Amino acid sequence: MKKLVYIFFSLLFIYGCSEEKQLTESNLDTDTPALNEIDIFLRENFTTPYNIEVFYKWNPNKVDFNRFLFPPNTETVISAMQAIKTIWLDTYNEIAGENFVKLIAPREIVLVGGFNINPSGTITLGLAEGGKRITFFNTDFVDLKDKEELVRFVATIQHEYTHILNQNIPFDREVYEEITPSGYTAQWFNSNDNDSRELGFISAYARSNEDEDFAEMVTALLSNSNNEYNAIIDAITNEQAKTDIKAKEAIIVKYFKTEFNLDIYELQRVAAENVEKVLNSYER
Amino acid sequence: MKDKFIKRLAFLLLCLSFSCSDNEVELVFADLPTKRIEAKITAVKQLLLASQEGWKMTYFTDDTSLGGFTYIFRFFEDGTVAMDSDFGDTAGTTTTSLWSVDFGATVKLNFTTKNKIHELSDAANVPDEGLTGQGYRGSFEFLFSKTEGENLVFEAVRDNTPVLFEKATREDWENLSKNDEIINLLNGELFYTLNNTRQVFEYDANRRFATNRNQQTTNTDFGIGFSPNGIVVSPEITDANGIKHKTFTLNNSKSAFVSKQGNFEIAIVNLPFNINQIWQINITENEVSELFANTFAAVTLENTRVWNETLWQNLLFGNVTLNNSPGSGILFYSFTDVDAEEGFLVQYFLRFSGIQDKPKLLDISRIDGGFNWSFYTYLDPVITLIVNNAPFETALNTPNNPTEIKLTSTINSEVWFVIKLNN
Repeated sequence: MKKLVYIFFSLLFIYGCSEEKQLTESNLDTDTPALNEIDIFLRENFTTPYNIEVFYKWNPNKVDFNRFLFPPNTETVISAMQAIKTIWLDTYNEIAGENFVKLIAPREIVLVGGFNINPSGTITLGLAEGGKRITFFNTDFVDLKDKEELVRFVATIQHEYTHILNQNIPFDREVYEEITPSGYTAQWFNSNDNDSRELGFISAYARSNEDEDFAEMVTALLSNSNNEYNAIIDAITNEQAKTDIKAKEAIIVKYFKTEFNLDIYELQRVAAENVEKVLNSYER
Repeated sequence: MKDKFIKRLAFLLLCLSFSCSDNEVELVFADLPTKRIEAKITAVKQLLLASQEGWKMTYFTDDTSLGGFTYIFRFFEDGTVAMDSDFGDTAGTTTTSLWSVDFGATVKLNFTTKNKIHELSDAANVPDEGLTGQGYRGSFEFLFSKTEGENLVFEAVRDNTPVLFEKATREDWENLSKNDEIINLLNGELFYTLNNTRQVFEYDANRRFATNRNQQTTNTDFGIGFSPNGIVVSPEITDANGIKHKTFTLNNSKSAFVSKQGNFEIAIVNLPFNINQIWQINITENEVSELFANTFAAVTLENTRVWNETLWQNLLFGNVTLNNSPGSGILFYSFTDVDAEEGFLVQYFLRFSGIQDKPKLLDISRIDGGFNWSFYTYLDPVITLIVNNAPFETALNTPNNPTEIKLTSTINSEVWFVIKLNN
């Protein structure tokens, strides 16, 4: 009797809920959208090789809604991203190997056409958020044929990428912040680059805190050729300031060498060559 | 024992029978949410693509402080949109960018790459310092709301401002540049009469906005948008009979805008010339009257006595905007060192206005002292001479874009001065 009951229950379990509906197609439109020339360029140069998605079409979720920003002009996207690729990506690829940026990279690059103006009146050129996303502002207003503007534009990613490297492996903040401890200020925008250099900071923005100071130092190193960089340091009249900046430079050299086995001066040399390469590509 | 067993069995059977009950949910709507959203996106796309010549809108981004900006756009299947506008540097040309219909708070039209409409959201492109960092407070994403006859109603994503898309015609594209004629017509004041009271409005061309002169009456201020033959106002103006007026046509004599909704008009009071430029008065014999020269000589002496400074024998007139002190009026310069051209700027704000039906007259009245005025109040006799003898008859050296104008008092012909365009 007991056996029969068990068999009866088993049958119930097996047949009771046997009906299964087959999965149908997604209700969402999952077709690959039509790709234009820009989309293809970005896929070939950023998404496929590096798993970096570049957003140039407006996506309100990627930016601060309270700011009045707008997307870039389609005509500026390819040249801006080509400059970023040549001066930033290709430089790291050549010196650090192809896998370096593949492993440590922002996963999203957002291009914004307009200026990001802060309540203090200062202008934010770029943002790095959580090591995941780098946002470039005012891409519509950059003249990439002008060396100074080109270097300043790409400096954004050199600066923000330094933050991403720091977020992966921190630098020795305690030692670094002791070099010029009293020079940091929230009102950094009241001073200019030249005055800041006399205080032991490579730029005015470097005065905002030690993280920015570190990133600004790396940016200065990678935005200038070795001669140009040395000329900046030589022009400083205050000897203590010179010593301080050199001490910071030494920490950076050590950080790149010990943490990533990279010679930053080699990066500097190739970056400077690649700046010229981009400028020459326009002259043709 | 057996009883207990049967009870347990019955209970289990009951459980099983319910556990296998039909779990098909009856849909409240016709379809699943994802399907309905996809369908809505497709529907809005089709609506936008359906108009052969595209759509036009006059977008009032914030009608408490700004006017309306007209855009015409035509959408294409390949994801591009062609656009023209009566606003911005490239007005009068057709420029192309990308668009899409996405799902945000609801289905929305998104102008996804830069075109003319984004100039309203350009933080660096502002009408004046008051909107620093905000551009013209515009959106370029519009939430779809409903259809209204042939028109489409959207809401700007930034602040839910309603925006009406009207079906555009070929003529709309061709005639858009005619908006400029109306835009250029306004340079001074506007007024209408309500309950026998004249409501006078100062028109700010940069903002396309009319502000009531009577600062106690603020709820009458309105923004102005343009059409080839008139204006559109927002908010609507309610007349004494409770009728609301929105669309106006320029009358034949170009002196007023007549309401399409009924018997109501907004009169135009223009200035005889563009005062919003930098003009210069040279205190020399043939360029100012004797009375003017004597008044200026007296304050020059006083300036030397009080501060031991030398008053510049010229004045700037008209647009006297200084970095942090914008406005129109008059500007003195008091030298501490003449050779080095070092000294202090002294600013006094004046109100310049036209007089209805007297297109050659310029009225001038006081507003207030500006930058550094509190240290130089003894310069006031010059201000008094000008405002007490206004309005002035204006004689232009050429009718269009004059560079030299003689202003002669209609009160006292002994008061006159020449202003020259300062380059």
